[in-house]
Amino acid sequence: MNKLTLRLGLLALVASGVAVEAAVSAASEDRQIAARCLAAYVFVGGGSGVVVDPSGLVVSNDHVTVQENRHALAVRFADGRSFPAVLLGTDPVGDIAVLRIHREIPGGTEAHPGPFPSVPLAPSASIRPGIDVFAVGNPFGLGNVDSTPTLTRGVLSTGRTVHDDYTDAIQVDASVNPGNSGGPSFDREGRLLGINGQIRTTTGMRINSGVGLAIASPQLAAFIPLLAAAEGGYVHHTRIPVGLEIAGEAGGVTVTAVPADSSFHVGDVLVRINDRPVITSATALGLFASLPWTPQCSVEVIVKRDGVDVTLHPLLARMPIPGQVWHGLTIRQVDNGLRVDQVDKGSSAAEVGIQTGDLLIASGALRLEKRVHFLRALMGLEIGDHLPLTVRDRAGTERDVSLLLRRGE
Amino acid sequence: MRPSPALLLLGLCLLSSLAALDPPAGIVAIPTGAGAQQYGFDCGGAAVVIGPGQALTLAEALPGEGEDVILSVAGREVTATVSKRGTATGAVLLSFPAEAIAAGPLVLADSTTLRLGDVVWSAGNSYGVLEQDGVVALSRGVVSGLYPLPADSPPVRGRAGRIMGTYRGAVIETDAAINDGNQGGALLDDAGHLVGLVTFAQTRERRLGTAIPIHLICADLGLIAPTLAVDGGKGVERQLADHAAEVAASVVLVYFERPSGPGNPPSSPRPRAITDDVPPYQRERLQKDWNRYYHEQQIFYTDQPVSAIVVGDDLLLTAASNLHGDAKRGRVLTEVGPVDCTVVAIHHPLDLVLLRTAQRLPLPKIPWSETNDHATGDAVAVLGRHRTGAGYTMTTGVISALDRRLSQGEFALAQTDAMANYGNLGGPVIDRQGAVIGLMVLLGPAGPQPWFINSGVAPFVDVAAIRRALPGLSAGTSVDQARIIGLGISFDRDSLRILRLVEGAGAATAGIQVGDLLQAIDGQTVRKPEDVSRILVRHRAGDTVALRVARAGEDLQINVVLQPFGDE
Repeated sequence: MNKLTLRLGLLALVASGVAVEAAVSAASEDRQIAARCLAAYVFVGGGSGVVVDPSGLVVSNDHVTVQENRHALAVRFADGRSFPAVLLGTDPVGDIAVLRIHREIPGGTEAHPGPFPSVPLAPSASIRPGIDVFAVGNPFGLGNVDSTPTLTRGVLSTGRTVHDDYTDAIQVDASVNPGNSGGPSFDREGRLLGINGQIRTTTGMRINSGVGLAIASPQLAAFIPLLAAAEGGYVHHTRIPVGLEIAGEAGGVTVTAVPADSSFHVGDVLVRINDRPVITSATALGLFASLPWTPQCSVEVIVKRDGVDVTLHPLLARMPIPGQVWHGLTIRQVDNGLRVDQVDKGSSAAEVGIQTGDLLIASGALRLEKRVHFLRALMGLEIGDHLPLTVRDRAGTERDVSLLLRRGE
Repeated sequence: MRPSPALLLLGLCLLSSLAALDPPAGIVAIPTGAGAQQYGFDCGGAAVVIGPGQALTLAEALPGEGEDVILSVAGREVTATVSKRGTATGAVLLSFPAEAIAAGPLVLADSTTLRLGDVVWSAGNSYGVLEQDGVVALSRGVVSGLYPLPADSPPVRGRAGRIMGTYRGAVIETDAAINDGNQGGALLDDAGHLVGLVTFAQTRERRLGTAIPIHLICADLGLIAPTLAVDGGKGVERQLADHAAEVAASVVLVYFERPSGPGNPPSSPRPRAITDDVPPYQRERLQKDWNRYYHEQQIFYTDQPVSAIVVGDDLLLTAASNLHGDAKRGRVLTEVGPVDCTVVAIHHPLDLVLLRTAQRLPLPKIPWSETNDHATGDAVAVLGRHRTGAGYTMTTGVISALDRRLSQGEFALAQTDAMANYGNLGGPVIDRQGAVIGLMVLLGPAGPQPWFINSGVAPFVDVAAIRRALPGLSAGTSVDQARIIGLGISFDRDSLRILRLVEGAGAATAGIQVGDLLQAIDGQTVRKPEDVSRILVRHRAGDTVALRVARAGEDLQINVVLQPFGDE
């Protein structure tokens, strides 16, 4: 007790000195944070990205990478160094893409061994409204020539919220503009709070309004490992369990219909989903959709039932990826089966080596003799699914391939 | 006495903790009839709980004229009734059962003690986040201006032409984010005390939002005036603000008459919208049309006085863009009446113009920074003068980028994220020591994008570049065009095969030959013209770069000295 008083007295004595020193230190501290944030930043096409692992793992927005040629991606650091990059996986719903930095070797590229300057993800406990935020980006493409990124400063306007497809979003008031997409928002410790991806405006002009939305670090942390292992494919989001219906009512967000053998009861009031509070039915739908989907994945839901909190672990459904399925094959029915007339450049069909003139024999157990069989094989498959095919080449050799169904480009 | 490291650390913690503010609980949403489904457009505003069963808002935040108002509190609905309406400010006192909202109330602070540069926070329902997620959206800024909103200000309209705010009178201007959903919401000081209610009377987006001071609202509604002094923060903003007053004495307003006479010329026609049915090959062109259109809208059609800084007894410096193209003279608006000024010389690449006044101005010269050792991340403030002449404005931010080069030109700009509006062009940028480190200019239509007001992307010329440019300008020498720093070659854009050499220039004298294939510069492979630009732009005239070229199947390494060219 006495010691504490003494310390406080001392502190008061030197307080003015401390304030001056602290101000100077804070200034140089800002420079250090800025330098650290800028070093891990990369230009990706007209947008942005950030290195999250020294081995050269880069996070950006899906909408940034989709605008680039998937086979000729490149990243450029603020020091001017440029590297080829490979898309490891993408999440078109949540707008996250993960790339790996490569290096050129004769005849192609290989994963660059690094190390690269990188930043850690901010833990969820550190996402508090009001804290300082630094955003780095390429607004209006200003850094396209001089490779100099733009640093802007602001605060975190909210904690984690649901904004339509951004189901784990943070709001920042640091200036973000077109070209900031895919770029980072950092905290004062230089940790990644989120990936900037949207601007809210009233006028429709996509210019900083002080309301920028970023994909929060907990969602990045959940998706990055799966995206890094997606082999160029997709990671789906989850969605509300099939058959479960909810509505916002006076008492809260309430279950109005349940599927057979569900652990939910009609009348349950949703309290928390994945440890985040349920405020409205829109929030609840967003929270059900905030996880990466894997077979048999579930989420912890706390409901109020007859005045008592009950914890449930329902299985989650898979959120479809919107868009047209693109397999890349043009086929024609001939006497002995389905003949490949054309293979789209850059398509999955080209990647697995299907060539013009090959015959499609079967899809799993289904023999492909008529066009309608091929359509039947595709039935029920969505973007991100695989289509199994048995292919016979011109030399008569048969082999099995698995065709990733991509988004139409 | 030097503090011990332990104390220093504590001091740092105290200082950095000033930045954060816990979101106040007593701010609630006023959903529109359309509810959160209307999310993102004309969403409902906010109200502020100020006592048990009492909340304040503005009439502009109410969805209708009725006396019953639905409040949304963490997803719950509470019905309040209007108990009083203010006639002067449009403020509305709401009452509701005290037990219905446990949160809050907010403490009021005496807004008469607000000063320019005080830290303030906007707290509201921006784009419906309070309605949907039950969380308040915070944005931090400063009091960027304190002035009366002129009676002739054009009304701000929302959907279906609805006028968003009719208040005219004293306002607090802030560079904290203000957007749809902030109307009727709080402006807080750095301790979270209520100092004003946000109004859309001047703007509804982050084009420098305004709030009605709480002391005027209290007077209007017959509430007891708060006496608690405002906490304006003790961070870098206070340092900047303390210096700003001194620097602002060297900032003047200049009105340039347009060649077409006063008043805004008719707007050029709006380009066609870039909709999905516009073919891709037309989009780039259309985008450029839009860029030009917005640029014209924002700059050349703004018939307002602009900022200039005093650099000599009868010399002023401002942005050349302020000349609206080709004005030759202007009027300095001083306290003793207008003083004529004429253009001495223009530096187009740096967007600077030097002006000579017809008589000496009894004003201090701008305090230039003695050094140019600024770094990205340093705190800065941008000063301007309000168009009414009612004092100066100050927005704060950081240096966003230095040595910004959009081409291989010989000049570079710096960049800040401080909000920059029309009147800021030609105004000074100051550092936390109060020294002027640059002058706000325009990234013109020649840039990749037009200049957008308050976009958080604002260019300025740094003090070193100004120092280099001033002697020439004083001597009456204008600079029309930037020279290009280059190798002295032209090459085929697809193959990078060298087609032509500038006689006697770097590449030719080093032994580069027509027909050589450019392969790498400074060890970096080049495949496209942009690759070449991206490497050369990092160099200055006189630097040597290492070229690798292929000639007759052989790779050659040749060093070339860069030099400036009039055009390349």
